[in-house]
Amino acid sequence: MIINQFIIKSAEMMKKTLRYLTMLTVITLLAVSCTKEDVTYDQTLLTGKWQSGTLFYKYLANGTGGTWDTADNVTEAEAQAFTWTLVKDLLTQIHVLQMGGSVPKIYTVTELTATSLKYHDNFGKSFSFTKVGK
Amino acid sequence: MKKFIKIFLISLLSLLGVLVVAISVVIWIVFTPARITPIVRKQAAKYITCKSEIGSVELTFFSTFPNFGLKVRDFALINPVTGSMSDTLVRVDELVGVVDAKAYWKRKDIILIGLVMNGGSVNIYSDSLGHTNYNIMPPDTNPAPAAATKTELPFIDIRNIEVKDVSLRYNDLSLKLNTVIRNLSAKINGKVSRDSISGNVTVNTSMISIEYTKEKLNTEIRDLSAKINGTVILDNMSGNIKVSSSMISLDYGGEKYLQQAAVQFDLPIDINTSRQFIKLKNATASINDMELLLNGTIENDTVSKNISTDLTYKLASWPVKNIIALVPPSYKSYFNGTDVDGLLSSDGSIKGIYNGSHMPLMDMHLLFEKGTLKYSAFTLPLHDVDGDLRIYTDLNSDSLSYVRINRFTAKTPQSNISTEGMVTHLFKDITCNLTTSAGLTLDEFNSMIPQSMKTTIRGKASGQVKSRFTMSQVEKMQFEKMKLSGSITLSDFDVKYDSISLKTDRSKIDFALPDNNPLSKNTGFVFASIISDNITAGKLASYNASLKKSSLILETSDIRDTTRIPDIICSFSMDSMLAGMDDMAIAIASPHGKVSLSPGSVHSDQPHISLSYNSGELKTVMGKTTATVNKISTDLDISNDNTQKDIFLQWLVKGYVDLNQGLITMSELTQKIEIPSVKMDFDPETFSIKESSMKIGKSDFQLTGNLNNVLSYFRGDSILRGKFNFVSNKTDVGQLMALTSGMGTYDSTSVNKYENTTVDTAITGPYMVPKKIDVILNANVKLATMGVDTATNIKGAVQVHDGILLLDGLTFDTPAARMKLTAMYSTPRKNHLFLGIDYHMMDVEISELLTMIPDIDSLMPMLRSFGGRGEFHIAAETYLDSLYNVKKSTLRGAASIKGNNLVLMDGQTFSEIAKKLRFNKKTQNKVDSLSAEFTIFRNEIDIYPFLIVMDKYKAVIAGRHNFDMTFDYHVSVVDCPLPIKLGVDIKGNEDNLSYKLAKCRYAQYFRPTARHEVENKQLELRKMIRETLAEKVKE
Repeated sequence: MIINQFIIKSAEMMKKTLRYLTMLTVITLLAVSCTKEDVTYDQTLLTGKWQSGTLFYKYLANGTGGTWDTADNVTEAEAQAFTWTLVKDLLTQIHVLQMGGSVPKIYTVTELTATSLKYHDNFGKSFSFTKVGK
Repeated sequence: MKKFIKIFLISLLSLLGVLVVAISVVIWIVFTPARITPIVRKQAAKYITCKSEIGSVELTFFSTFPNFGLKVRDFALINPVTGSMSDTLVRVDELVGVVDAKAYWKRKDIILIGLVMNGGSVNIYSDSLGHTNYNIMPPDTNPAPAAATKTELPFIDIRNIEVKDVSLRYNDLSLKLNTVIRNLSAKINGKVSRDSISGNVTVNTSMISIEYTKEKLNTEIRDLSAKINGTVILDNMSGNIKVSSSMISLDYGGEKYLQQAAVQFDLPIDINTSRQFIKLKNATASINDMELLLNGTIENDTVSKNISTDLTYKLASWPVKNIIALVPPSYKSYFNGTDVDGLLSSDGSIKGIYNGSHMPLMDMHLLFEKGTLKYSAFTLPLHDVDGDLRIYTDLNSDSLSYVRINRFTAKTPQSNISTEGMVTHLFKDITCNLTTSAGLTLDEFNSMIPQSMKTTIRGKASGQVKSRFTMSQVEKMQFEKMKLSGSITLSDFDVKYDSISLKTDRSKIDFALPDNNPLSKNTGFVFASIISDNITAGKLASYNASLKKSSLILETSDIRDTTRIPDIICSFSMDSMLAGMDDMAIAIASPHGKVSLSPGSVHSDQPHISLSYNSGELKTVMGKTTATVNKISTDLDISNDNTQKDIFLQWLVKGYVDLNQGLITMSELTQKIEIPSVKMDFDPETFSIKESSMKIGKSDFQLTGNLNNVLSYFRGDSILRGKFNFVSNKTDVGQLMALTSGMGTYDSTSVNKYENTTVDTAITGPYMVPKKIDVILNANVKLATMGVDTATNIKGAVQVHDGILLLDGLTFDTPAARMKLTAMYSTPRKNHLFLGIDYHMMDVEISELLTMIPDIDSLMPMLRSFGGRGEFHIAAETYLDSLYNVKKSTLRGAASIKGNNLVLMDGQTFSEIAKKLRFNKKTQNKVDSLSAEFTIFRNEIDIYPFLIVMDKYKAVIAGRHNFDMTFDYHVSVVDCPLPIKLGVDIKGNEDNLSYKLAKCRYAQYFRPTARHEVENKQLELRKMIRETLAEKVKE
């Protein structure tokens, strides 16, 4: 009886232990599965002209580019220059001031295809572009 | 005694009675007509071959007392010849002849005491072959006598030959001469001796008609009354021909030269026939009561075939109308439209030889008085036309001939003109050397101006003109060869042409052509000097100008020569000049100067102009804009380059301008522009401001320096370069920018690329920086204002470089700090303007900084929470629209602020943070150090993580806020008394901020060994931002 009870208790404990282990395993697995993986995008896909509403970006293969917003009556020829790098999913744009100095902007790319570009910054602001030209 | 006388008288009367009875017996009983008539008829037949008729012949005594006479009645000679108008050669009603028979019987002298032919006609005819009707004498059958050594005339004394009422016809077809004399009455007496003839002839006839068809000459003389007397001694004839009354008509060649002209003459004349010499002694002749007095001699030298003349003449007060009446009809057309009258007198001489190649010398003095003239082409009638001239000519030689006009005067109803002088070279090219004076009332000449010209002229013109010209020069308009000079005074002169008018109270015009004392060798063509008390000119409802006490001196070359640029020199001076047009007006005191125009020294087809000008006070008004200058002095040298198309490039100007005490008021400017002085030199390439001072509103400045490459700039060959020194006690930058807005720029989107290229002081658009210009303005401004901002001790360069306005390293003091500013403003197009600044403020009071640059509060609102001094660097740039609104999509910036021992201002935000972070309430709000960088990108302002140390706390702050004033900040407390690291997220907007505890995001941010990759990247970027900003300060 006692043994049975012990066995029963042991079995219950085992069940609890297993349940805990299972839970720990699941939690561990879940924890492991939530770790950010390194994502790398093909930066050649980035070259070209991208549009989001009235906002345009143009990335050139040599790491330079220009941006303009037609809502402000700015044309492509009047685009403001920047340099860019895409390392893994980190897109860095450094906008060069004519007066000297620079303004860096860092974005995390979430999608880059031949026609679509999506990224966001550290403050949760997302951008979505469609390629409109080379 | 009485008895003797009584006996003598009785005896004498008895003797006479016997004598009368005896004579009566002889006449009426012995020599009765019945006895004498047959004898005469018989004798007549012996001497006359033609048929004769003698009605009766009677002896007369008492009617021819004391001589016996023979009276023949109804005498006729009839000799019909074919072609003759009549077969009667002579028909006489009564013929009485008285001959001194005693003289002839004793001395063989023929004394014709009386021959009276009363009534009858003579018809003489000769046909074309010479057959005549008067060849009635029988042929002389006696042998011709031996040649006489000398024939002597018998002595003939014609006491009286009288013809009464006899008609004479002479028709000679061989000579084509037909002469008719009607009612001829004549008396002839005279003597013929062996070597002399003397006599008197008195002729009266009602009509003489001479038709000489060979020469187409027809003459008719009516009522002729003539007396001829004289003596012929051998070759010498001396006598007098006097025609006291006659009316002559003369046709020659179909032309009626005289028509019933009353001709009279009295010719005392001596003639030597062998010498063909005629001498007139006070001879007079008149036609229609116009008398001519002649004296002198004429001799025909048959050897040399010269006619020698030595005549004087005189005529007095011939009515010109009567003279013109004598002009043949075919020449009347020359006087069509002319009505002339007056009295012509003349005297003179004709001396010298006349032959086929030589004319005698004529010296004629003409006097014309009380003349009147109306000429259809000259609507003003002339009166009191007087002339006194001398004509001296041989009708051949220019060297001898001349006309001297001693005086010629004429008057119109209100004007007068007079002239005098010489006219020479009468036969080749008439040359006039005249001095003409006139006093003209111009009003009366309006009738001569065609109505189509819409011109009226009033006032008076008087003066004198000296002229020397030839007719060929006039015909060819060769003014360059003429000599004209004179002086004309205009009084109350007023001329109107359509709506244009010119008035002068009194002006004096002196002129000379050519100019004998020209200022240059090429301006000798004409000289003119115009001196006026007052001149006004203008166009109705358009423009007007007024000159007072003006003097204009003009010299030119021949301006008619269109093949070359004329040489003109014009000097002018006047007390004042006023001019106005529409709402513009200008008034100048004492302007004087000199303008000259000449062909270019290198290219003669390019004009060269020089201007020297000085004046006193000048005032101009244009609408609401006024300008005043107390004194102007300028000297310009202007060259033309006509190969250029742009008018600015065609005219190249060199010289200087000197202005004093100028004042400009413009409606577009709220302030006056004062110009105490301006002195500048300029040439086509360089504009050099030696001295200039100006006050515009609150601004004052002195500007000196040079502007180079001006011509090259406008040619498009070079950039306009300039270097100026700008010194000012106070400068309103906004006003200065408005003054130069828009020069040389255009909007690429504009249809007209030159749109908006003119200087427009009205701020109607953005300030457009001039292009292709490189101008440096070294400024030294003690105080400058722009809006509410002020700055002192501004030193640096302001540069305009090809569309870019650059404030390069401008240092200045503001109430907040000593600052250094580099700013750039460029205007690619009107609606796309670039503005960039690089601004460094050292040791600036943060509160003052926010006051001075309120926009920084928008960029970094947290600065409001700090007090104290620090340094601030910012570089920012953006594009603006035409209204200077920021195009936020183009906004870029990077800034850095650093401070120590700052005070964190107590406020709601700080209280909330302090509460969340469990700050000690006794903690002072001091911030030991602050060093932060932030960037601006479009509407995002990113604050890079920075550390502040306050009391025993260290916190890292980072985040973003947007221009819509929404926030997303994070504060990480990385060091505090508690063993935990806290974080606070601050989100929302100013009115609704939320504060939440959060994970300490930057716990390891300032621990290099523990930093993550992202944190390292952020620090790198911060370093990059700061270093690039700080470099500017080092420079």
